[in-house]
Amino acid sequence: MQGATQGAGRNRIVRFLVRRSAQAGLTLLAIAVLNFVIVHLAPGDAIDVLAGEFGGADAQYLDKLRRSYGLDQPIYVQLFQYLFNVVQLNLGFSFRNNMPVFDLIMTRLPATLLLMVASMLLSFTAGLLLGVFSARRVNTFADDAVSVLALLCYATPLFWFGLMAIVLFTVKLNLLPGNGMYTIGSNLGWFAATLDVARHLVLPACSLALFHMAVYTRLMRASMLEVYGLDYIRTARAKGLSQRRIAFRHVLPNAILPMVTMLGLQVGSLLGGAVLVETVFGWPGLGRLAFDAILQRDHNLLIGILLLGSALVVIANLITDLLYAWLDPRIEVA
Amino acid sequence: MSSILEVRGLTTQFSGPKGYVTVVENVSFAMKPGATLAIVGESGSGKSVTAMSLLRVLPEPPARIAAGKVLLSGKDLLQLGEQAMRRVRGRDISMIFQEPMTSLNPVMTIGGQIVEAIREHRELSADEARAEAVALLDRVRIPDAGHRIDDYPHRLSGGMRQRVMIAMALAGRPKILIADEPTTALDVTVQAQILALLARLQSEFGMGILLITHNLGVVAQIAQRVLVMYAGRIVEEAPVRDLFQDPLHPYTEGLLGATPRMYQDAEAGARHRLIDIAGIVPQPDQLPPGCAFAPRCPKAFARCREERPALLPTRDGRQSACFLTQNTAASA
Repeated sequence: MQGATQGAGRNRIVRFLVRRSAQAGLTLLAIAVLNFVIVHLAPGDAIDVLAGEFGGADAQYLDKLRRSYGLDQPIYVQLFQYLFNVVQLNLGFSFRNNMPVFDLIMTRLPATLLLMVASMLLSFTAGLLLGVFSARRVNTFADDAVSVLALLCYATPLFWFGLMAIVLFTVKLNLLPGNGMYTIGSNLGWFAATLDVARHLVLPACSLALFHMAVYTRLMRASMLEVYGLDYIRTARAKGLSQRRIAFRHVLPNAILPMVTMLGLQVGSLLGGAVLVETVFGWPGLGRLAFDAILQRDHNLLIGILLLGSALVVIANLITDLLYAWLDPRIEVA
Repeated sequence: MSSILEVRGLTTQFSGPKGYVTVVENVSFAMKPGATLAIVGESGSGKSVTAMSLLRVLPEPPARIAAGKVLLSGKDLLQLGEQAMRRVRGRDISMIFQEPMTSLNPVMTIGGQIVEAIREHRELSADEARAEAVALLDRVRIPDAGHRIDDYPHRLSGGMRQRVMIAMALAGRPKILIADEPTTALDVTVQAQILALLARLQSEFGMGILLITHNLGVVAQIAQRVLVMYAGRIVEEAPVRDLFQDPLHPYTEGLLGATPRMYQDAEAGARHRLIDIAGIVPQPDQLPPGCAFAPRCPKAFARCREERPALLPTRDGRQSACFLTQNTAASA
C-alpha cells in the first residue's frame, strides 16, 4: 500500500518533468529567436568593431571578412542557420575569442555558478533569519533597526558597495582579496586551494547577495506577520505551545512559501547583477564575458550567454515548482 | 458543589484610533465541574472575546484585559506569567474554534499536530504519543484512524477536521473545553453529530464545556445554564429550561422569537412565525448612554435611555439586566 502510493508519486513526478521539459524546450527556442532578433536590431557587427580597432580598413577586406563569417547573409537566413545549430547545442563560433561559444561559456560557467549559488544561499538564509527575527519582535526597536538595514541594502547600488568593500576590506584592512578568483601563481593543495577560492568569493558574493537579502528580509517579515494572524496559529497557542515552537514549527513553514517563489524569480536578476559584480571584482565568470561581448559586438557569444541565462531561469523555476510541492502538501505536481 | 472556573468582572478592551474601546465589560459567571454553560448572543456581542480572554489567546496588543479575575480552582489565570499560562492552555482548559477549515495547520499532518499537543502536556515517547493520537482519533469517531493520522488537513471534510480539533483539544485531558461556535461552519447533519460527540466525550472525560454560540437550538441540546450577552455585557443568566419557557430580558425574548421551533408552539395551533430583532448590535465605541439594547427594544421607556440597568438577581437563581424584570421582582 505504502509502496504503491510512493510508486505512483514517482510516476507523477516523472510525467511532470517530461511535460515541463518539453514546455521548457519550446520556451527556450522562442527566447533564442527573440534574443537573436533583438541583438541584431542594434547597429553594427563584429567586423565594424574590428575595423574600428584596426584604425580603419578598406571596404573590400571587410566584405571578405563578413562573407567568410557568414555575416553577409540576410538576417532570416542567419536566424535559421542559428536555430538549426542551437538545436544541436552548437552555439556558433566566437570570432573575437577564436573559440566555439559553447566551449567558451563552459570555461566561464563554473565561476558564475559558484558566485550565484553562494550569493543565493547567503541572501536567502540571511533574509530568512532577519525576517523571522524581525517578525517575532514586531514594532520594537530591533524590528525597526532590521527594517532600516534592509532599506539601506535595498537602496545601495551594487557597484558602489562592491568598490567600498574593496576599499575597506582589501585596501585598508587587508583582510580579504578584492580581485580575481584565486591567488595567481600559487601552487596549493586542494584544501588550501578551496580555501583560497572561498576567500576570494566572500566580497563578490556578499555584494551580490545584499540587495536580495533585503528583498527576502522584507518578504519574510511580511509573510510571517500574515501567517501569525491566521486561525491555525491561534490553535497552536491554545494548545499551550511555546512562542519559539509556534514561530519555527507553525509560522515559518507556511511563511516560507512566497520566499521560494521569489527564489525562482531571483535567478534571472542575479545573472544581471553578476555582470556588475564580476566586472568590479574581476571575477572570471559569464557576466564579464557578456559585458565584453556587447562591447565587441560578438553577437554569437552574446546570444549564447543570453540563451544560457534563460535556460538557468527555466531550470530554476522547474526546481521551484518541485520545491513548492514538497513544502506544501496541498500542491500536488501534475 | 464548588465552581471549577469562576470569572469575576472580566473587562477586555481593544485599542482603536481614539484610545481603548471596551468590548467585554464586567462579565462574571461560574462553571461547575462537568457542566455545560452556554454563552449566546448575536455576532459582535463579545462572546468569543470573552472565551479567548479566559485562555489569554487574544493578540496583545491590540487587545488588553483591563480588569477582572479568572479563577481556575481558585488560581487567578490573569496573574500567571506566560510560562505558567502555557501549562493551563491545552491541559486545564482547551479550546476549539468556529472554522475547522482554517484552524488546522495546512503543512502539518493531523497526527503531527495532535502528537505535538500530547507531548506538550504529557511525558510520553514519540511512539506512545502516536499511539495515543490514534486512540484519540478513534474516540472522536474518525474511521480508519491508523491511516488517517498521516493525512494532511486538506484531505478531510469540515466535520472531520472539527473532530480532529476536538481530538487535539482532548490531548491534555482538560477539565474545561471551550467550544467557540463549534458547529456554525458545518452542515446541519454534521452539526448534530458533532454536538452528540461533544456530549458523549463530556460524560466520558467529565469535563466542563463552555459553549459559545448564537444558535439557541444548539444551546437547548447540550447546555444546562445559559448566559445571554449583548454589546459586551451579560443581560440575562438562567437555567436553560427557564430561559426557553420564560425569558426575562426583552433581548432574550427577541432571540427566541427569531429561532425556529418545532414543538413549543404545538398548542398554539398556528405556524410559528420568525420575528427578527430590528436594527443591529451597536459598535462598542458607540454605545448609547442607557441600556445598550434600548434603541432596539419594543418595551423601552424613558428610564432605559438614560440609565443603564445593572445585572441583578431576580428569582430562582436567575439574573437579568432589565428595569422591567427588576420591578416585577421587587413588587412580587
